[in-house]
Amino acid sequence: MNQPARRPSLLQILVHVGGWLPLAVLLAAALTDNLTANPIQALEQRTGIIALIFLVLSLACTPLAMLTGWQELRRRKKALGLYGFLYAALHVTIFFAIDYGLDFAAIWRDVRNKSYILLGALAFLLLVPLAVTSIKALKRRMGKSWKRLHRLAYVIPLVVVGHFLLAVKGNLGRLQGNLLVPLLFGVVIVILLVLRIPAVKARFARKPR
Amino acid sequence: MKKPNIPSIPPSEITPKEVYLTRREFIKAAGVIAGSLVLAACVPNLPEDASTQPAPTAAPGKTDELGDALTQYEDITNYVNYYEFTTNKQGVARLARDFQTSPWDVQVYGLVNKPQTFSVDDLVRRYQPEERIYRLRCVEAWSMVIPWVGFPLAKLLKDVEPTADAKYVRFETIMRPDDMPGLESPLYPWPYQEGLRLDEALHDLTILATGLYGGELPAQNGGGIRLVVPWKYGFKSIKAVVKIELTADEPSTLWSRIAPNEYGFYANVNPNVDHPRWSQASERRIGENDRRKTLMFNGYAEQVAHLYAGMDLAKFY
Repeated sequence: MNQPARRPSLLQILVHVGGWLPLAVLLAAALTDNLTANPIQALEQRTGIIALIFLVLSLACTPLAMLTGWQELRRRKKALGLYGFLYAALHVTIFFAIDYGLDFAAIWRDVRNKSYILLGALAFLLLVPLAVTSIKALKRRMGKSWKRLHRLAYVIPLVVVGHFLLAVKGNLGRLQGNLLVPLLFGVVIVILLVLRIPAVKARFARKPR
Repeated sequence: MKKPNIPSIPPSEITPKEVYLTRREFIKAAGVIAGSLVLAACVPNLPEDASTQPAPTAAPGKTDELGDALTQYEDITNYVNYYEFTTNKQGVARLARDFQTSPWDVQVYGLVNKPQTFSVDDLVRRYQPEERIYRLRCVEAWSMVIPWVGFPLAKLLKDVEPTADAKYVRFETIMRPDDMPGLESPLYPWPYQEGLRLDEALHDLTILATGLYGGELPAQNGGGIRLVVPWKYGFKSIKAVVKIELTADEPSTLWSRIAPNEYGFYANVNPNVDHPRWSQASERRIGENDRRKTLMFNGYAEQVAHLYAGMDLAKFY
């Protein structure tokens, strides 16, 4: 962490441009009326997918660094995770404020028995403390408990995939319906988690270059 | 059924089709240019050229019998669930652009005295389709108001003479794998099938539609011919019908085979029976921003509630 102030690396630029680009694209689509005939739903679905993509990218940093020896990747997982939080927050805000116009009675009526929304809410509630404690000063003060708390980052993407699987039309038991995309996310996440198991790590790890 | 009182519009008030299309082209082009300035490849799902199809002149001011305006032709033809093409609602119109909808044959068979195969041209000649402005309420909690052109299914069924054993009607969608890329997906038990109880099928509101907005029925909306049952969730209104079979037993349907706990045989629009995924208490009318309350039987309770007298609709969902 003893980097002097210098020009940002290519990867850093990529991460931050990539982080804001989806928002720019969504705004442009909204302004040009290109958000389908059902724009609010389109915004909900797209911010959701984008959030999941960033969470997965964040999760991929450590295993990719291990496989490739490119250590800088490890220092980008925080920014990627925070972009994931940004789009998750947009996703949740659009749901409450735009879709339901903050009509909490209607939200409660529609939400209480919908497991996909409950799982989504759980995922977001778990993300909040991670985003808050990403502040450097807090991290330092929390010491070991920071690491323990941030193990949640392994669980949250799985909760999000559960939310996604329950939100699409289909049937998991029979493997029928629109399950392809959420299942692919699930497979990628599981691989990224398996690569962290010490025995697997020992088999694949390359020496830092 | 009460016929809506439609004020007639003097021809001078109607925007000529050419002007109307040019205006849309302009708006679309502006959108494309602005979009490509950001990053063309990333702009998701620009609505694909409905304009290559002859868009019938819109009828400004027309409403359903509750006074709600018609949904735009472009939205009706570009926001479609039609999984035989793709699960992407905005992608259907492009993929269905070259889909042949004429000539089109429908085979009517099963428990009938006069099984017969009809061409859609035959059917149109025999039954004189008329405009029916219906609300369509998708199980995904969005809705539209659509001016179909069609005729009551009852007319056709009476002519083939169902036998005394006939209790249900089964419908089947065409399978043309070369033209319908979605059929490759093993995640759905093709073909698309739907069914109605015979008395539902004979109800005057139940129509076979052959047209839309006064013009032809576009391929993406179920052309050659489709079923429209306005008091049921949209997935009951099966598209591109090629088989109509009268049966004694309740037919199996595609969605109830996939998830019987979510998609029942009846699938009547019912704000009081919840769905694990979408709110069935409210819906978003395409073209509006606020949610509106979903009406019992999609607003057709007066006409159809008697069909279900004494039934527990929470059980027979």
